[in-house]
Amino acid sequence: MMIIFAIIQAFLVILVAPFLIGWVRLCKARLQGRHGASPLLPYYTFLTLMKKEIVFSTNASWVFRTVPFVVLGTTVFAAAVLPLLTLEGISPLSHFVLISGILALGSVFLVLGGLDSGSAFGGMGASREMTIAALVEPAFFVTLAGFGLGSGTAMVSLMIGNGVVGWVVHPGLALSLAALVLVSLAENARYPVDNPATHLELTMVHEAMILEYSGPYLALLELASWTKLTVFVLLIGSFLLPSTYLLAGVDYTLVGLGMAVGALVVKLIVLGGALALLETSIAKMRFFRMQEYLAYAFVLGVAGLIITLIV
Amino acid sequence: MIEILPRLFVLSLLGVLASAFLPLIRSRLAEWAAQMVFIMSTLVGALAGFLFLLVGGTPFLGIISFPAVFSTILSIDSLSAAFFTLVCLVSALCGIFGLRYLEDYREKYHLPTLLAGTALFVLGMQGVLLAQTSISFFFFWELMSLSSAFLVMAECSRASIKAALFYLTMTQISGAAILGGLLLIGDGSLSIDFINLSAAADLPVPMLGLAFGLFFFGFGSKAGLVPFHAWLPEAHPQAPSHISALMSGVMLKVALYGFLRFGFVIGPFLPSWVAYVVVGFGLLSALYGVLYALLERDIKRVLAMSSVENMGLLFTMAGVFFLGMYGGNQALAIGSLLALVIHVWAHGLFKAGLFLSAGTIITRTHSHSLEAMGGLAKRMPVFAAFFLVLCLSAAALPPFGTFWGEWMFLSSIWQAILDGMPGSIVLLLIAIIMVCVGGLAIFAMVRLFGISMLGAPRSKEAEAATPAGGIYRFTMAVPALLLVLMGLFAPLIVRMVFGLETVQFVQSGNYFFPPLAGADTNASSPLIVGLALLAAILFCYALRRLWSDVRRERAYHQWDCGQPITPGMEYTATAFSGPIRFFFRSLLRIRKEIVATPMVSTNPWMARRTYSLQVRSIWVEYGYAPMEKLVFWISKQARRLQTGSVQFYMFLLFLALIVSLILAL
Repeated sequence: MMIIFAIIQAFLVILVAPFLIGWVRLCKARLQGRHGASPLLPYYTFLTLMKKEIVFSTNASWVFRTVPFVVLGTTVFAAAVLPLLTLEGISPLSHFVLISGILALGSVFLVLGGLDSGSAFGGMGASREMTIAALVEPAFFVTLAGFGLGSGTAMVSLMIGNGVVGWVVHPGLALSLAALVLVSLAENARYPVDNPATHLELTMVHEAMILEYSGPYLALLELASWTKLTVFVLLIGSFLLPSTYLLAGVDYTLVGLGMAVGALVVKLIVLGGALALLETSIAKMRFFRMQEYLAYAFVLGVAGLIITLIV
Repeated sequence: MIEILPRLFVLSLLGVLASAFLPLIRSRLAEWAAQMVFIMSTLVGALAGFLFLLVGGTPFLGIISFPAVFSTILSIDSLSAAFFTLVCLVSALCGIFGLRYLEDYREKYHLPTLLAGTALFVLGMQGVLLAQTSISFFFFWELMSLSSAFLVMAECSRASIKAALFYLTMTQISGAAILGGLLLIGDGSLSIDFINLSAAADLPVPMLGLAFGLFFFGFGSKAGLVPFHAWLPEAHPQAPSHISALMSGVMLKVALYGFLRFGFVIGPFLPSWVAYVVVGFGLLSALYGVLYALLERDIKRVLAMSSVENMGLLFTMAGVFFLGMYGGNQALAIGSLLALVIHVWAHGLFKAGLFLSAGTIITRTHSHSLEAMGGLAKRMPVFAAFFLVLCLSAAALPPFGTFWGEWMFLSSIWQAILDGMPGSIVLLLIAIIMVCVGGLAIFAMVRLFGISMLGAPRSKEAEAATPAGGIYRFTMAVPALLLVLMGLFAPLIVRMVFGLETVQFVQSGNYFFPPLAGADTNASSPLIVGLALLAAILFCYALRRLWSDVRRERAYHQWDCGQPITPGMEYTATAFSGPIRFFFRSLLRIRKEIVATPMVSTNPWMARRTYSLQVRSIWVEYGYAPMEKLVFWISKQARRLQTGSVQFYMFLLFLALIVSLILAL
């Protein structure tokens, strides 16, 4: 039963991911005074890309071809086991060390894909992404460790299940939550770490790595990054207000499921709007100031952890 | 079954010994026979060790004994069997690799000495692991150290001889420290049986502390702990690749074994801050090693620094074991010990595999520099696949063997924190630093793989690289496959090696050691994780196969902005680590120089620029270099004694005699 729900959840998250990204783009456009495209545009983008021809760099090896599958695969894994829709996810697999390892595996393959074409752009993006990924790893660890300590478990699903509203019981977790937001922005290549909207800016990270990908492979990589954003947004939502789907997750009936899906969509709309507002109101940081940003995330996480440990 | 085991061990040792002397017959056939005997006997050793672990039930097995003199000279228990099997397995792999590698470099090395040296080196390691008395332990230890020093200078180049002498100096200092420790705990006797080591508990605590310090320094410097590590990145890269694999993959583990063997005995009688010292050195080595692993550009130096990192992690695990013991938290102690053994195996396998692959790469590119590689994945696809598995294992990523060791370690720390063990903050700090190191290790390994294998070839040799077949491929495939199997069946292996009720880790009674009940190895099955991950990836693959037209693809050069693009524009290994170098600039010693010389005197903007980057080490600059100066100064002063007159020397001899008589009486 757990497995079936995990599969349903993974499909649902993948299905709503293009909508979230379209919604964020629409909100950003409106906030910036543009009209903006329909939030359904990413669906069309995905379908168009799936039909297109693939152009490979003559330098590319087999690694280039495996990258999209592994990157999307690790994201699907996270989308299946984390408690996004149902309360439990696959709880034994949602151990926080495992999750951060799996996500790191995805980043590693993305970086390898960036290097494989042999262009300077890809290498630059790869080097930067790897730096961020290597430094985000401890921040992510301490953040989830904070929540784990608050609820006395190592499984992300139980972290949400045990402490009804974790940060109300353990105020220190508010800091962890802030750290989680910073980590999510870095992991998903959003402002102020990366600019998701441009292809031709010297500050870019994620887009530089996937520059050489085209057609269905690009579609899969885009889908992977959208899904990852959705996973993180929902995770933040669950830590912020777990009660919303505590309500829905009580029983695995059709009504319960419907309510859970409704809660999920509401969360996406609210948090997507918040993300757009955040991205409109702050500027991108210089890459060589990234250590400060990541240090904020890390210190916030450690503070949350230690306060939770002491109190 | 158990009766024939001692014979198998003896057979293995004798075989290795024989292969050390076979090359004395100067003929190709003898060389070949020596290699074959070496491979066979190490395989027999691996089999014997494996069977010993598999059979279980016998915590202790004597192998050679002379009842008249000592009770037992050589013996095996679970701790040494776990190490012995690994040593034999990796030695066999390196022997097989040597069959082809030495053939390719026949002119470069003097084959008979190299073969004999390798055999003696392996014999030394086997002997250290099986030794049951102080004297045999020290004999084999010195055999291992000395023969490996000669192997380092196998190339006979100036650099390799310099590295070997440095190594020899350090290894002799550490050997002296170990000898001192052995004498202290044996109360002046070297013939003490390890069974009776617990008698050492009668010694006063300061004495025990001194012995522990000597052992820690001796074994730690042999294992490459910072700040005693400076010889390691010099010596390991200079040796032939399969010797580097032996040194980095297993010799360092033998040093760790020595530390554990004596630490287990002395540890319980020492104050608990000793554990913090061990952890501190371990974490320092891990952090320092990984930072330099991601800076170095010589492929073998990268691997050597990564060994410093991994030995640091292992010593951290050992330190946390002691923390658990002193804190009375058995679960923590057992968990970190299990993690330690898994990590020993994982590191032994992936590091040996990586050094062997580095050897293969060097036969293709004829350069150690990462900047001369690139594009090899396209030219040697199967090789690259195995190399990728080894690199991902080295980065401790799921679903490979190394990850489960670190995971188990972090989970046991986590459990101890949740249980509210006193000193949780320290445990938390340890875990956080471990994760920081883990993140940087991923960076180092991705850089190693990405720069050497991917992109366009950066040199003519790399461009002309041909696939490495046969033995080269086989010797990488074995560790890679073992790591994948470890990644899938880690709990099973743990249960097999440390069967819960059957095997106690060390013979009970004399060592403080709990049976392994309560070790939680079943939290989440790695097999399920592996299968779930595979299913997710296959799902994505199916998406592409079923949804899009597979045939619609073509090859074209990468995006070049309208100008021809050359490999010189690619990111280099130096550039790749640029951001990390910048972020950690306060911890690292880097001298960067950009010299611009104008090409036309009237226009300063058109200039030829040379960029040089020097990576140095604070330990060498502030530790080793002044020490070297001091030693030279002392020997210069001592030279004043050499007046050249025989009478004066006679007088000195007489004086020395008198002084020693006074001291003795």
